[in-house]
Amino acid sequence: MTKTLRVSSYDAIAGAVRDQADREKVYVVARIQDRVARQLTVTNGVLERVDAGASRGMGVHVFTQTGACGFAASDEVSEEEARALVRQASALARNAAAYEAEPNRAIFSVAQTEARLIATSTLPLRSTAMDRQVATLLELNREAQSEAQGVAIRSGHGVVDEEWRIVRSDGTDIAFDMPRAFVQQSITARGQQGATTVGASVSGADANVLWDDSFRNRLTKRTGKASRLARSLVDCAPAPAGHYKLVMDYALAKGLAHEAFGHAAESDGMTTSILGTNGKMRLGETLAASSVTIVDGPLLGDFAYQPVSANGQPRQTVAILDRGVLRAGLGDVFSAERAGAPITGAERAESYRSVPVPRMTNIRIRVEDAIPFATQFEDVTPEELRETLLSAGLIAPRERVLFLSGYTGGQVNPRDGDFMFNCSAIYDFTDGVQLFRPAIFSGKVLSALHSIRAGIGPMLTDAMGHCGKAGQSVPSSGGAHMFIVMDENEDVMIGGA
Amino acid sequence: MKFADALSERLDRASIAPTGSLPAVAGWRISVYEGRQLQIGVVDNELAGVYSPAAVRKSLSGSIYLVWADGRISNASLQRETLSEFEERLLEWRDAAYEDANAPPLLAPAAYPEVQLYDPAIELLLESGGERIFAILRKSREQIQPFGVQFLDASASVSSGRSLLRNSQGLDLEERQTSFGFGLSADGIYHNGYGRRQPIDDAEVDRLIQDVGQTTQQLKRDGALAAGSQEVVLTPGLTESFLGTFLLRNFSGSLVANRQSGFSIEDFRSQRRLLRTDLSILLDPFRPFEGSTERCTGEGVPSRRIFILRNGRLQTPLLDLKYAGITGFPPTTGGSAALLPDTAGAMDDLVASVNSGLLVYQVLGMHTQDAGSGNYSLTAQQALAIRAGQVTGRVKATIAGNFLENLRDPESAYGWDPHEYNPGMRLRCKVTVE
Repeated sequence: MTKTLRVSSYDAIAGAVRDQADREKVYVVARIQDRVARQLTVTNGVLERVDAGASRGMGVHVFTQTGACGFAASDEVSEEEARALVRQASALARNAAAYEAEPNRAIFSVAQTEARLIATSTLPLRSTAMDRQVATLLELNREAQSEAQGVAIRSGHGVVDEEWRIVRSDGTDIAFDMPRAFVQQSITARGQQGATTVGASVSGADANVLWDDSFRNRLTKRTGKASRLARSLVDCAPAPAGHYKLVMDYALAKGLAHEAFGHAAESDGMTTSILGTNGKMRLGETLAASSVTIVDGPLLGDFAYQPVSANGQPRQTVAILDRGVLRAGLGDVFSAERAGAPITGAERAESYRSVPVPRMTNIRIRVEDAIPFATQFEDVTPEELRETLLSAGLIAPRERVLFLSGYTGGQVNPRDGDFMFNCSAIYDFTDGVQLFRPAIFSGKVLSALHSIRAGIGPMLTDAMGHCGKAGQSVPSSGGAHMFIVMDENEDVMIGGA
Repeated sequence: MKFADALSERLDRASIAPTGSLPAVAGWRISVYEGRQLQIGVVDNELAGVYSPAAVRKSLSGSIYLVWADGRISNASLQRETLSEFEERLLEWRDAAYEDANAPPLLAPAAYPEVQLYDPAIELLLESGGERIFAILRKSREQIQPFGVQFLDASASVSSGRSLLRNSQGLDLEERQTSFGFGLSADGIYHNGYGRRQPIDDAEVDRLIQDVGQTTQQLKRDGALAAGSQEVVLTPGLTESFLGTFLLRNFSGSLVANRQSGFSIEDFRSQRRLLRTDLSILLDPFRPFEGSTERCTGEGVPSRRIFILRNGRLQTPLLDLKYAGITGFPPTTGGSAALLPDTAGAMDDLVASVNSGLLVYQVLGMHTQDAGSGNYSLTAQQALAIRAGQVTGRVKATIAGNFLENLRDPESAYGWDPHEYNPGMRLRCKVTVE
C-alpha cells in the first residue's frame, strides 16, 4: 500500500508560492523537504548511541522574464514564509540582473509534469519499532564478534524517510518520497603496523535491511569475509605499482562508472568536461568496446532511489554509453540544451537549502555476453575467481593480473579526465593468489572505458555510497556484473610501493 | 532567543508534570543556532547564474539531549517546528530513548573564557543586498584572466546568527556569531580561500587572486620527474589534511576506547612516544575570529588550549564527556589543531632545500584511505616538479608511504607560510609518475 506523504498536506503553501510568484511576475520552482531519520551505533557488543533527526523546510528558486535568478530558503514552512521567500528571491534576482548576472531562461520551456504523487510502500520510520532495531543490531554485532576473535566491530544502522514536494509556476505540483536504509559493519584488526579497517554493508529502502533474511544472510557472509580480510591485511606488504590487467568486483566497477565516467557526463560541467568539446557533449563518439553499456537511472528500493528530479520532472533511466557509443548525458533543465544533450531529470539537491545540480542515482556497467557464474557473490573466493578466469580464457597462466576487491571511495576531476578510487584489498593472480595491502587505482577516464573487456556473473547493483559535488552530499549507488575484467592500459595504473 | 526560552519552559514543565504515560524529564540540554546567510557564486565564469544564484538562507536548528526519570537518554535534533509540535516530538524522543551506562552528565555552569566570534561589519554586508560580494566576485573574474585562466569558480558568503547552549543545571550561554567565506578555483586546477568571522579586506582578496592565478599558471607548464623514492613537499593545507586523516582521526576517543584506532588507550596512559621529540600538536580554541573558536564545547566544557601530543608523546585522546568518563581522562575541547615543530624555516626554504622532488598542492583520494595504519596511496593531481630548489612544471604522480613513519623520520622538515596555521612539510616517499 503506498504511503500517505507528510508533504501532501502543504496544498495551501503550494498555492501561496504560485500566487506570490504571479504577483512578482517571476517563474518559481519551490522545493519543500520533510526528512526524518534514525541512526543507531553498536560497538563491541554495546549500544553506543541512538540519534533521532528531523528537518523540514523549503527553498525557492525564482527566474525573472529575462532569466535572472535568485534563491531563498527557510526552515519555516508556512504560507506567510512561502510568500516572503518568493519576495526575497525575486528581489535578489532583480538585483542580480543589475550586476549583469548570467541569465538562464531554460525553465520557461519545460513542459508541465502531470503526475501528482509518486510514493513508495516502504515501512515508514515512524512505524519502525526502535527496540526491535536495537535488539537486531546488537545481535548482528555480537554474532560478528563471536565469529572473529580479536577484532573490534562497529555496527551502524540508519533509516531515512525523506519526502519532497516540487511546485512550479506552470502548475507542476508533485510529491514523492526517497526512503533509504543501510546496515554497515566496520571491522578493525590490529597488527605490528597499526590498525586496518575493512567494511561490509547492505542497503535498501527501510528497516527490512536489518530484519529480512535475504539482507541479513548477505550481511553475515560479507561481515565474515571482511573480518578475515582485516586480520590478513594487518601486516601485508603493499602491491607493486604499475600497469596490470585488472579484475574488480561490482562495487569497484560502480566506483569506476561513477568516478571515471558518470561525473564527466553531467551536463552542467560540459563546458570543461572531458566528454565535451566546445561545451557540447561528444554524442555519437565511440568511447568503449561495443559490448559495454553504462546506464544510470532510479531503481525502486535502492539506496539512491530518486523518482523525480529536484525541478519536478520524472528522473529517466539513461543509457549514457550504449554499446560503446556516447548517446546521452545526465541532463538537467538548466544545462542540457547548452550541452547538446536531452533533459533526463538528473538534477538533485541534498536539502531544501541546496541549489540542485545534475547528479547520478544508480549507475551500472553492463557487458554483453557476460560469463555465467552461479556462485553467490559472498561465497566466491579469490581462488575460485582465478580458476574461472583461467577456464574462460580471460587470463593466461603467469599473466600479470590483479584482483581488486571492496570499494572504499573515489574522486575525479572531470575537466582533466583524471579519476581515482581505492579498494579494501588487492590479490595478485599472477602465480596463484597473493594478498596485498590496498593501493589506489587511477587513470584517465577514456582509457579506463576502452579497457573494459568482459563481465562475469549476474548484475549486482546495490553498491552504496555517498557522492559529493558543489558542497552537497547525496546517496549514490550502482554496480555491474559480479566481476569486471579490464585489459592492461598504460593510462590506468595501480599506485603502490 | 525566544525559541530557546519557550522550549526551556516546556522542558521544565515536562520535568515537573510528566505527559500522559511518559516518565518525567529528569534533565536536559539544548544547543540551538539561529541565523541567516547571503551567498553568491561564480560557476564556469558565470556570475550569479542558475547554479550559483544570489541566495539567502534563514535557519534555526540544533540538538537536544534528554535524561528521563527512569535513567534512559535521548539524542535528537531540533527544528523550528519542535515548539508547535512539542507533544508529538516528546513522544518521538521517548521512542528513541535508550539505556547507556556511560551517559554523559549535565554540567553545572562554569567560568567560560571570552573569545571573539562576532564582527558587526558583517551585518552591514548582509543588509547591503550583496553589493560588496558582487564586487569581490567581479574583481576576481576580471583579475584572474591575465594569468591565462579560462574558467573561474568562486563563491562568497556572509552569515550572522546567535548560538545558545543551555541545560537544566543552569548552564546558559548565548553568543552572537558571524562568518565570511570566500573561495576561488581556477580551471579546476588550484583553489584557495578565506574563512573567518570577519569580512575579508581588499588586500587579502588581491593576495588570493594573485596566488590562485600564479599557481594555476605554474601548474599548466609541463615538468618531469623520475619515479622512485623522492623528497615531496606538502603545502600547509595538504599537511593539515594529512594530519587530520592519519593522525587526528586516531585520537578520536570513541575509536581509541573501542579499539578501532591506530592507538590504544594504554598508549595514551603511558604517554607512548609516537613521533620525533621536536613535534607537538596543539588544540587552540582561542584564535580570534577563527571558525573553530569557541568558549566551550557543545556539552559545556570550558575551552582551553590542550597539547594532545607533546614532544612526540601522546597526551590525550579527543574526548567528549562520555568517553572522558570511560577512559578516565579529562574531557577535551575543540579548536584548530596545529602541528608545532620546534624548528621550522619558511615554505620557500623548504622548497629550496629539495634537489629533486615534488611540491604537492592537491591530492585525490584522501577520504578513501585507511587511517589506522598511517599508510597512504594518493594521486598527486596538482604537483610541481622541483629541480635544484626551483619549481619547474607539473607532474602527475602517485605518492605512497606511511605518514607516521614520515613524521618520525629525522630527515622530514617543516616550513611556515605566514598565511597558514599549519606548516608545510618535506617528507620522503615513493613516487610513481604517470
